[in-house]
Amino acid sequence: MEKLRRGDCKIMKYYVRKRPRRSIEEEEQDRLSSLPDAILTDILSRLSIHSAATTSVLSHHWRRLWTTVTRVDLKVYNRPQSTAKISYILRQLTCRKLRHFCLTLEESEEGFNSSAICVSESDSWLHQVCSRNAENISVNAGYDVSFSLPAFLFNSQSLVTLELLGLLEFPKIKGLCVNLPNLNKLSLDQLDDVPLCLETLIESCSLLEYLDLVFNLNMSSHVVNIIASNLKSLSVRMLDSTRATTVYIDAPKLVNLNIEDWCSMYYFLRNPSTLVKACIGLKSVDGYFMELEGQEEDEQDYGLTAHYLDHEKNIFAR
Amino acid sequence: MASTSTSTLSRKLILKSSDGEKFEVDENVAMQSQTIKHMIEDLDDINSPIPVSIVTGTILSKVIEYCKKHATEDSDSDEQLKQWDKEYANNMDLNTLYYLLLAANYMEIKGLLELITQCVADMIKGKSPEEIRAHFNIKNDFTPQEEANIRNENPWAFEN
Repeated sequence: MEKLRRGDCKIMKYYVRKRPRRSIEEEEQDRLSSLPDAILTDILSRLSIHSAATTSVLSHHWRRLWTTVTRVDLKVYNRPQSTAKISYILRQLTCRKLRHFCLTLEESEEGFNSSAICVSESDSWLHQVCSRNAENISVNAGYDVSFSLPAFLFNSQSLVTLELLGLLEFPKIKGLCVNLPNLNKLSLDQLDDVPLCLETLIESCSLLEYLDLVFNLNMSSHVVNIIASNLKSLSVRMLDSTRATTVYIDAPKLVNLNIEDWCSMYYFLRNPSTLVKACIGLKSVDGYFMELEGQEEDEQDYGLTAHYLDHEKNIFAR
Repeated sequence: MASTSTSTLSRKLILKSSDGEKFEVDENVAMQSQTIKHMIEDLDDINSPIPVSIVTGTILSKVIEYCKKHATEDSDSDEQLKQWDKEYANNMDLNTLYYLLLAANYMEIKGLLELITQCVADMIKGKSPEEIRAHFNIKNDFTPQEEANIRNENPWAFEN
């Protein structure tokens, strides 16, 4: 069988190399432009937005094709022309379903000036993106400037993945309306407060399976409730916590747990009997790290693990 | 459903190209095409040739070569398979690539479609509009004035 396939391969190579060139007319036809637009969109979506936009000048056929791309990866430098360009590109998009949107705010040489990218600008960008039924949104705003999240972001029904990195500021609205029925993965890095709506946000996303949270809480003590009926993977990282935070977890289908924390209390409201792997990093002066690994632990075992998590912490943190 | 899956390995299908060439393939090879998979479900007589109406024999043989390789992927590591994919795509001339794209699109073979799409995207990447036109024989049907206007519209795309 193996021999046969190798043989086939050789024949194919021979065939391609030795084949006489087709007639000149056929060689000179523009077959690329004659491909269905859906395929061309797919090709253009694999290019940078710059490369894709370059094709607008090829011919009439290509004039607006680049605006149908379903993947947009943008980097913004702290320059007015850079932000104007982003606004322009996003206004041009015509696709019905934007599969990936990735935005990186990069520091310019002079250092980041928070006034350069104002809230209204980033809001309008995200608004454009959400109106294109975005499925995966990833924003890296850097840790230098606070990044305020517009309320409509939590009302985007097409969203499957939401990854936000920056000094995240949740909308300060009481009873924020959350409607993310398709959200599967949520990553928030980082929060300097526990937003009022966080619990609602997590609980209301019924398809949520992956949750990454990074906190940098340095004021008072907090309570974090993580209630997620379908959650499979949970990662919580606490940076520089000076006061004890209490984390309640109710995730009966949890498989992977990763905690990097040294001063909070964790309680499991229900034993995650499906848990396969748990990593608990106890960051302390000595940097102790403990890893617990088990295959299909039974309920009792994990009841214990959750319990001695606090216990071990006290031992190791000394 | 269960009764068909038990005999999957031994079953053979006959695919018939647009120019009448017939290919006998294992069912699991042909099933990588979603289109064929759906066709088989509706088919009463599995022994009659399945028409792949828009694909010529030359192209169909290449499609089958890809499907055979990917039907038995257990024997190779992911890396080996990627290397094989790369060589497979690099050995095609432009015309073959176009027909393969159309075939993979029509037959709904996700992996092959992605492979060739990426291959064409890599050909466009980093090229100036003039170079792209030359590579793919795209005829510039803009007047110089029209072309200048478009460049002015998106100046950021052309600065380098």
